[in-house]
Amino acid sequence: MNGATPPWYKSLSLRVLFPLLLVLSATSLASFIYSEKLLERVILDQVRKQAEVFLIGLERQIQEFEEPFDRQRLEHLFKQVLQAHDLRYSFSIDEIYLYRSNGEVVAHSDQQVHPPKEMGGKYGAVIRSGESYLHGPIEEIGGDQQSHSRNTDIIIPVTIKGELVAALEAELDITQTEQIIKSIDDEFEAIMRMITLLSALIAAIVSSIMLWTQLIRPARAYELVLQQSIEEGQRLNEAKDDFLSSMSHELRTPLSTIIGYHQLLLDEPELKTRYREMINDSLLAGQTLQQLVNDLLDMSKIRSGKFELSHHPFDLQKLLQDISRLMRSYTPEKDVQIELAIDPALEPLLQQQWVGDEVRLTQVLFNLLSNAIKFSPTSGTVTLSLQDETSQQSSETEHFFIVRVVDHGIGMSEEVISHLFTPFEQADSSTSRRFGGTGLGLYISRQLIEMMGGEITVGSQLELGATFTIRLPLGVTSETVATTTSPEQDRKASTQLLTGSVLLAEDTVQLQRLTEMMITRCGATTTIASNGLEAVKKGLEEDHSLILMDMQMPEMDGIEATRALREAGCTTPIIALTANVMPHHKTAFEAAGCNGFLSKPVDPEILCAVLNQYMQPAEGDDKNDSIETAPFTIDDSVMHDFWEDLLDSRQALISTYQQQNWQQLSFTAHAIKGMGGSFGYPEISELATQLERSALGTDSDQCSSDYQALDQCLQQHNPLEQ
Amino acid sequence: MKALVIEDVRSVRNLLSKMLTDSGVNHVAGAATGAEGIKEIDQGGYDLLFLDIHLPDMSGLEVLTTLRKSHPKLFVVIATGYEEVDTVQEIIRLGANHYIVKPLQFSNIQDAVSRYQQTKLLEKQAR
Repeated sequence: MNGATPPWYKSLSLRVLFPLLLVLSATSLASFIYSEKLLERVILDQVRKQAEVFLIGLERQIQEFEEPFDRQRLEHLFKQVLQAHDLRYSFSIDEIYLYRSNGEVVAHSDQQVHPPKEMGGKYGAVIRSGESYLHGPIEEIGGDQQSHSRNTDIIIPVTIKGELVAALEAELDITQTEQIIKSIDDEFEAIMRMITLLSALIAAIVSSIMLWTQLIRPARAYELVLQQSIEEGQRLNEAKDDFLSSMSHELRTPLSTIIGYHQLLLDEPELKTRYREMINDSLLAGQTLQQLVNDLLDMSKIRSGKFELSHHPFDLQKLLQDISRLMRSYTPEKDVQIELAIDPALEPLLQQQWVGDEVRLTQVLFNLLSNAIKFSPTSGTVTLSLQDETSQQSSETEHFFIVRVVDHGIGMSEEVISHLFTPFEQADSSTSRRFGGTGLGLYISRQLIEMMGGEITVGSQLELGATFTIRLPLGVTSETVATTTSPEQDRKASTQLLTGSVLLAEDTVQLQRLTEMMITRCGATTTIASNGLEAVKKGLEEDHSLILMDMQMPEMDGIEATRALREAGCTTPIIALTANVMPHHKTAFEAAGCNGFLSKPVDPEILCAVLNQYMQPAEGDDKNDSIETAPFTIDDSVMHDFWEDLLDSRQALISTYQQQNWQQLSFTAHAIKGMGGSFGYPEISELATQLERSALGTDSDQCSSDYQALDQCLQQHNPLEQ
Repeated sequence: MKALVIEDVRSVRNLLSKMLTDSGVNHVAGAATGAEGIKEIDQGGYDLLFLDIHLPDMSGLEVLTTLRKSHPKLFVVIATGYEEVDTVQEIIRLGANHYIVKPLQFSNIQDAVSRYQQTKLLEKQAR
């Protein structure tokens, strides 16, 4: 349906033809119904007219003739009159009578003797009223019982010199007339019928054309457009999801750069408090953004159906322990207690590993627990519990568990609960302003749990709190809980410097720099390769302790490079750096020859732990032997030096004070301050700081009291003074 | 790796030396005055210098300015008191590579040493 002006035939048919045809059909239909009645009237009117005309002529003749009339004469008269008036008649005269007003028959067309006409009845009525009377047509059967004729009786008043003196009665045979008129009428009828039919046909054709163009074709067009719109919508949705996941790398890289550098900055020991606060706030903002990006990417992956769950055995009890421990340190200022309540009846079941997606389950629990903490009052309690599913759902291959997160926070109304798992909706706008959050967490959590074959339900009462219940099946496996060391456990391990070089194959410049900083922080050196080809070349030509291989690089990706290196005989351990930690990816990495993998964005602690696995600690003095960060101990000889120096300093303090050499007093105090601080005597340091200031000040009382305080302190602490 | 500590308070000098040794520096020497320190550096072979701002004969910054001209590759760490942190900009402008804040903390010393190591590596790569 285009918006062009409708073609000429359309408007013409619409406005003119169509109504016209409608009218025509209507009128012909009507006339068809009424034609019977018309017939009669037409005939009779015809007859009357002709009779009247005849009689006007006859009247004159009557005045002229006085002899008795016979039929021939009368008929002759008729013809003469009629011819004089140039009229044709198609009726035959049966009988004519001429009466005077008293009933006396003046003339008649047949030979019989007629009695005078009665004054009553139709004859009398005519004489009295002066109006002609028409009777019939009536069927008359002829003498031979065979012929039928149709007759009309007509009585016409006659006036002579303005005086009503007589009546003329004539019986007219109008059979032929009728037939003629009827045939005319028949023709007329036939024509009308044809017109009716024709117009109905045309009307039908035109209206079906109208119907087609106005309704059916546009409807088809609408259908097409609708179909196209649906397809377009689907395409756009897919494109959006494709766009989002292809942007995933572009979105995640700068974010991980920001967060990585912030974390490294926070590790700077000399960072001013003000700067620390600023950087911390900035880091939190970055982490919030990262969470949002992850949520959005998850959501689009789930919606586009490209989401894969992994199925690996894991330790369920450990997962719950780890996450409750993690959440305890999540918002320390709120001081919310996390209780872990595992049903003791589950003890035997928890000796074995269970198959499921550990990472995603952790994500869900993290989401529920952080919500619970968020809405809990200060010093409230959140309970994470694990129970057995009591109904008979469990089977040979899987077992149902019930995990509950219970809080005693502000609770939710029925209304809120109904919208709870809808994306982007929060309890209400004031909640989002108060508590933050993206509104996606619960939606994603429900999607994840349902994909795992379980369900999440929620129960809540306002002011009393909420309970989120997860019913989840986990697969049975025969593997028992292994004592595998997770990277998290190694987190506390060595912060000692390592030695050796790492070949870093990474194409994104920002990540090259960031990762390199993390590597040198652990003590190792870094060589950079910007793509797979370079990585293979350097890996074969140079000697490295470890190769970190980004799996997505131009020219030659990580998997190809790894394969190439292995085929060339390179035995250096290779660790894959990847954003895709899907099960099939892991298998691919292992098959290519990788020894392990690290997920991007790279956590500096985890990286260090991995480096420690494959590299040697730096060779140094024997004092560097310990695995753990040995707390630095000041040995006795150094301490002795300290006390000796402190003796001297005290002497200097006394003499400069007595000499009232305030400048020098301040310097000495400054030196004592430094010593006190470095050797672990903050009280000495503080007192010395005060004296350093007041020695140069104007308040001599303050100065002397500070001096005395410091002097006393030095005496007390220094073992050499005793 | 050879380091020099210029610090007039003996005990603090010794403490710093020990911290450096424990951080992986093989050879640590000490000087009590600026002049002594400059002479020692000029004799050559030093990679690292730990320099206190307050010295009896001259300010640490003067030592820095002097040495920076003749030993461009020397990695200089200035030790400043907590309240002097605002002069850090000045310190950096004059050519110091790093600074640590007193009172001395072992982790700060370790950090300074690793900074030095990083710089050395970057230089190596740049070649």
